[in-house]
Amino acid sequence: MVSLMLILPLFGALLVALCRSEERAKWIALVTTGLVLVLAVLLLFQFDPSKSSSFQFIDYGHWLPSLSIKYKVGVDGLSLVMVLMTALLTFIAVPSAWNYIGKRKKLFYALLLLLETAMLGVFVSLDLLLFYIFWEAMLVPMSLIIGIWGGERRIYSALKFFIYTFAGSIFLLVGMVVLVVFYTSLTGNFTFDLQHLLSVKLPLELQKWLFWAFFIAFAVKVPVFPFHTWLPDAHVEAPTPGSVILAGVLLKMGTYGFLRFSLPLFPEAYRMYAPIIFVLGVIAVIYTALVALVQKDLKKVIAYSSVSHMGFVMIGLFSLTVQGIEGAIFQMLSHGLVSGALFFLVGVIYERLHTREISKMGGLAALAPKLATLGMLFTMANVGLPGTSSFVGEFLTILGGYKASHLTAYLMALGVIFGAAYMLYTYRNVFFLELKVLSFKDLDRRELLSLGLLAILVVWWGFNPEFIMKFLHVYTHELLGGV
Amino acid sequence: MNLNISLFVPELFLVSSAILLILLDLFLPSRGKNGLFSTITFAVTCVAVVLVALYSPFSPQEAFNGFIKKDLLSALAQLLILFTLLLTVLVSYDYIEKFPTGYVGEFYYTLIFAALGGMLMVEANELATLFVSLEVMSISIYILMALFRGDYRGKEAALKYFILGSIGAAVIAYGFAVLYGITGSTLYPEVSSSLNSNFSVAALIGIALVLSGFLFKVGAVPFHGWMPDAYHGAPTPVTLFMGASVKVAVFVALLKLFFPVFLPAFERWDEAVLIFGLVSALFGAFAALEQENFKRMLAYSSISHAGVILTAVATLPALAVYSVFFYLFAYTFMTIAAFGIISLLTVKGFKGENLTEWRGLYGRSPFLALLSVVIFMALAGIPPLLGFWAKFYVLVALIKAGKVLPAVIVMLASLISLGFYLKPIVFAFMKEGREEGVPVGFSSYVAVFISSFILIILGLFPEVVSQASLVSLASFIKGTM
Repeated sequence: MVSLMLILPLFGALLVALCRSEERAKWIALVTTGLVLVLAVLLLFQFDPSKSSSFQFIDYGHWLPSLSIKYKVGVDGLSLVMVLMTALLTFIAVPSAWNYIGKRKKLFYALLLLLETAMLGVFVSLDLLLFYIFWEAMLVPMSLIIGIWGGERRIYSALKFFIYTFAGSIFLLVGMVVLVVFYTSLTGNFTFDLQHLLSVKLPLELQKWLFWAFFIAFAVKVPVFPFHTWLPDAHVEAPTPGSVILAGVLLKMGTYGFLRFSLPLFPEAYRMYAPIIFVLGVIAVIYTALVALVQKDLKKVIAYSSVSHMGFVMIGLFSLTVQGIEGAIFQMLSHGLVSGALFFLVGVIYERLHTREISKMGGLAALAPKLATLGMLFTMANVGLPGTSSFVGEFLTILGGYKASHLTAYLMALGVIFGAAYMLYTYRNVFFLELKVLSFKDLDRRELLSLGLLAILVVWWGFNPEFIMKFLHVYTHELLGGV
Repeated sequence: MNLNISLFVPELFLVSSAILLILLDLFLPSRGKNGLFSTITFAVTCVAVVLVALYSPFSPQEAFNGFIKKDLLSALAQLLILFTLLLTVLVSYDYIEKFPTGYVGEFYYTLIFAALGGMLMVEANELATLFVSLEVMSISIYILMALFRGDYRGKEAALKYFILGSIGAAVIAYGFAVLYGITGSTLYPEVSSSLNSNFSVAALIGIALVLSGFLFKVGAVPFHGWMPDAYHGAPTPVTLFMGASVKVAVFVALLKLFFPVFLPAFERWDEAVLIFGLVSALFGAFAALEQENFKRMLAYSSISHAGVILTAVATLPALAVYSVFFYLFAYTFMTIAAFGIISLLTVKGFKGENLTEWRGLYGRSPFLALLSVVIFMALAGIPPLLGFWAKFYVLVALIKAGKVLPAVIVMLASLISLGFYLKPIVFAFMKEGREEGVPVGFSSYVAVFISSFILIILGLFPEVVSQASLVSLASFIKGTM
């Protein structure tokens, strides 16, 4: 089933490329991503949460036998929820592109579908090299999406995104090969299979080196301060569906990498360097929140808010507590939904006003009540209001942070306050104050459906986090048990 | 006398076909020659491919009293060279239609001679044979570069390449002479055993000279100066041919000479080769960043690739043969595809050679634009294309040999190279350009398509190339024992 999810979008991309009409492309994309979403939901129901620490639905095949590289995919609790989010957000990205993408529609939807395969591949790979291949394969479609359909500085941003990520990945690849060669020298077995590699305890000295090699690649993707500078550029220039995917899924690849590889492979180095990550995380939380406060561009506010929220996730991940890690994973999901929705909203506003400057908006609530209502909901969610999914994530990460270091938790809480400040301030300036535009079309049915779906999930998971959490408990306990 | 002529059938067939073409050229009128000659050359090459496949021995075999030694490594390298020739012929047909020359016949049979030189190089088992075949290849290429009438850039490039190439050849010849003086033989096995028993400083000087000559031929820093000019000046199909086949021939010859014969001095030259390799990899990548002309850019990138291959040569012998062959395989198709697409876009009034004129290619020819993504991303080493695996194998070889820092430097070079490999894609997709369609030559299109297709398919299923590398490695080791 997992393999089917990977193949479907590829097949869809091929169909899009072969179809004659530009208009039909979006329908093919919608149906394909819809099918993937259905598969993801089916996976959720067939998954056995009591065994969420072990991989299920494994598909296995030899790929490059001479180097023992396998095609091996499967999901555990962590992969499962990431796959679900990816399928959901890609599905949402299609309607968000509906009006936004005017030219070269076929190319766009084909790239989006290729991107979906690569993203899903990252989350389900159980072979190190397979993971790397999906990780890199995602670069080309994403950069093209930013570079072709983006704003004025799109080329600069696309290249910056590409080169930053690639630069990080260099160390990842070298680190992987070093790890495998070391494993071979111990066991005589050359393999990139993650489950095999986990069976060997690495000496601390090697762990330290490899930790940083992997760290750079993941940190760029998260992005961890000070590797974050590509993100505001990429976000601001990317077309709406690009931003939705970037914030919703791509940023999570980095944090996923920490959980999937860094923590289980280099547990001692991971624990050792946690204080450094706390410092970086706190800087991200507070500094970028302050930066978000002074932005004039609506999209930049959300972009910096993303960096800030990913700071919470990082601290949660490195707190090495059950609450911290579960909270971090939950926050990853929640941030996917909320920031995806916020970028969708910004896209809607930009489509109608052709500007993202906050000072040129104002009073939109009077003209577009539906937009304002949903906007309110997602703003509150981004602030971390109880009853929304973000609250659960933020609360648990702060709790985890508190257990690891009190000071960190206090500073994180400060970040929450700043977060409330910039979000409310922005919301007021966009939706209230005096009206600065003459006409503004409210959400249409298609937009309402997509955003409504996200809104329902945000509230549902906020009130019933256990629905997701039950897939994580066993996984987290096992993970920490091994540390 | 052990002539073992039957082993030599493919080469004999090529020589006789080329001679036949020379005769045919004398009697035929010039009209329609391009079509006829390209068809014949194509057919001859196809037959040669079959012959090489049929006559390649599973266990290494010698011919001409040990002057020639065939193993599967040489057979596979020969197939690569012949494949390059096939695709070059496809590209050349369109090119000559676009830019007529009075020397159509000469062009095609000289191409065959050039390929023949390369084929002999990879099976040479004796110093003089190696030298002569190297010169057959080089001289043919000097001629090919200057064949287009009124093309002064080509003539200048040919002259430059000729003069510098001759110096390179002289250095190699001098090195061979020194080795002969010390060991009293030019046959690989005898040189090898003599060096094994009695290694002197003079031998090291000989090896150093030979190495410098080879570094010159592959365009490694600091012997790279001729390369951008030669690549830029030569007619694009010739650049394509030399870009791909010279690398294959020279590197395989280098493996066959350095590993069995110069192995006693391995600890002395491996560091040097590694350093030359790393410097070339970095320098080529940096210098390519500055280029506006596409062919010059690819020339510098080729210096960088040669550097990467050299670093692989400096690893452990088995790893080196394996990863170098893999890299050469991938590099051949990447080069054919890259220069093929330039040749395809080069027409009067629209010089595909210049970067800025790739603007808006997607609007004019979406398919070509997509192919260019495949080609340049393969060159940059982005998975899952074949270029990635080539780099990956080198990386594994380096790290297995304990050279982690060089591995990082190789990857850094590939990061820098992104700076220019992304340019054509940016221009093709993200910038608006002229509206008119791209004039398309069918046969070049086929060549570019085939090679890009190989980059994708073998990228998805690299095991095929990996097995070929393993087989050639096994055969090579058997031959050295």
